[in-house]
Amino acid sequence: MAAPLAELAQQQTAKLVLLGEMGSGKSSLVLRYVKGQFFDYQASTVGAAFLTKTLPELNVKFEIWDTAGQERYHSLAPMYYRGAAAAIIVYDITSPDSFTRAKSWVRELQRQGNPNMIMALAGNKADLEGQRAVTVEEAQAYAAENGLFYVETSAKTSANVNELFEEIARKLPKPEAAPRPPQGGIVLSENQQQQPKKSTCC
Amino acid sequence: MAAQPQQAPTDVYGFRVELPGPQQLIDMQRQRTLYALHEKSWAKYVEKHKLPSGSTLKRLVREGIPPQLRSWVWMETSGAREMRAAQTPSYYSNLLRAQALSKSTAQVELDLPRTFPNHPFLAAEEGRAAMRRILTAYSVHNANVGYCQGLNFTVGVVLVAVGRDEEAAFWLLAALVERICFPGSFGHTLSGCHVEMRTLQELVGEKLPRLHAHMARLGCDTSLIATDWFLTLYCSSMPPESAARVLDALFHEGAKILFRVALALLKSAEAALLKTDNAGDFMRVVKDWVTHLYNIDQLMEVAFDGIGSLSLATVDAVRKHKEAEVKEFMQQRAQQRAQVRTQQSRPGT
Repeated sequence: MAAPLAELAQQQTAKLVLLGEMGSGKSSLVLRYVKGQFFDYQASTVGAAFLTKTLPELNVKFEIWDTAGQERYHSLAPMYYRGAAAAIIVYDITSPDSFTRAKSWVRELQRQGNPNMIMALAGNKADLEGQRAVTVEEAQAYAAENGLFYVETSAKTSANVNELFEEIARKLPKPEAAPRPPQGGIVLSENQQQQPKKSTCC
Repeated sequence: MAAQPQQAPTDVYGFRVELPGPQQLIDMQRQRTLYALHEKSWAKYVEKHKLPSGSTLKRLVREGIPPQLRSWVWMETSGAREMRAAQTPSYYSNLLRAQALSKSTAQVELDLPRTFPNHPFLAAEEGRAAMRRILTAYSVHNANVGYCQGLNFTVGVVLVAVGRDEEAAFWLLAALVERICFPGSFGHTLSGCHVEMRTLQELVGEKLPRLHAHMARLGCDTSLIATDWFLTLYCSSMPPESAARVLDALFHEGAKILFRVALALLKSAEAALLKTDNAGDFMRVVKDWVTHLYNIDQLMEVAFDGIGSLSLATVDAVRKHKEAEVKEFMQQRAQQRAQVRTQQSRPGT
């Protein structure tokens, strides 16, 4: 426990974005994590939903952007992942299409996103083992190849949900250790903060 | 009135309402008394079955159409009745027979149980079946749009507000997408929605300069808060009974109402919003305000009288400028995505 250090350090705010196929369970994961709730039918997300959650023991406050999954909403996504410290790419273990979609999100983030972004791949609906269509091995291999943190979750049973977010929080670069960014001398974060002033969004 | 702890409170259309405090209940009850007043103003037109003309119609619609008259008035003012009349009487039933042609069936199916899951009619099989037919028929009728997530909420509210008249709801949807909202708003790239968001951003700068500057400081883009307002026409953002009031004016006066309402929402919450010191809090204040907006009468007053002139010509001039920006943005994106796809299709990756 790094409690004494953590108390001294200022709370770190981290932008976290969830991306993935329509109906893969992004909103359910967030709702389970933030409010401990689960509904069989969670209202579909339009645009994006915004929630926050503080992890006092890790001194992290997540600002969570839960995005809409339909393909056409893809054009809005850059606005949500711009400046994000972490992304959770969600697929549904019963849907190979959703896994394909997850891979395309990973590609896009690798090309367009923040290069230091922490990316997690979440195979959701793990409670539906009987209908599984994406194997653990396949997802694991893909995650390893692309340097992603991989876990199977179930928003329904809450399996691995806290673990997923906590692991991301632990992986965040610690600000107290680095008044400047950890690697290299380029002060990326300050540049990023100035960007929104120009209204050249998304 | 005796407390009924077992029953969740609902609005005039049966949508469950969340009342965080006594004020919202007062606001909601106040709307009910207004309906009774408005009914009197509409009585003679109902009797003749003829809408008032010109400025009288505009005034009465802006005051709010009594719920039981909405079906009739919406069909007339939106142009939906004309659209229906331009087709053969069996057009809608023919579309239903052609449902197999829809490419949106699976997506519609996925969203049906996620559309107002607490509403007694819409969450029951009968309501879902009606929404399924409307949305699927629409995807056949207008393949360029197909099914856009968000329209499920609009259809839900409209269907209930027109007394479950499925075909009326279908044509009102058609009028919204094809006649009223900016072209491309619901299409396969949502390009029209991008144009509207950038237009709103500019209008906020013009009408609410302090708030605009504050938002720029926080890095809080207008589209972060207003995308669902424009893509569900407030039907998933506000309490549905309040959204119906926005639809009253939208059907009659067109898409500039979406901007008037957006500006009114921001203006009414401006004092609280200026006190926020980060984008997250800003978002939360807006969201809380809009989700619990039961005093729609007051909001519409601000929308019509509190933000100054906003003609369609003004909106169109800004749109034209933003359209060019969005076109360029969309082209860049298409190129980037094509690159991602070529990479993916390469063997070994």
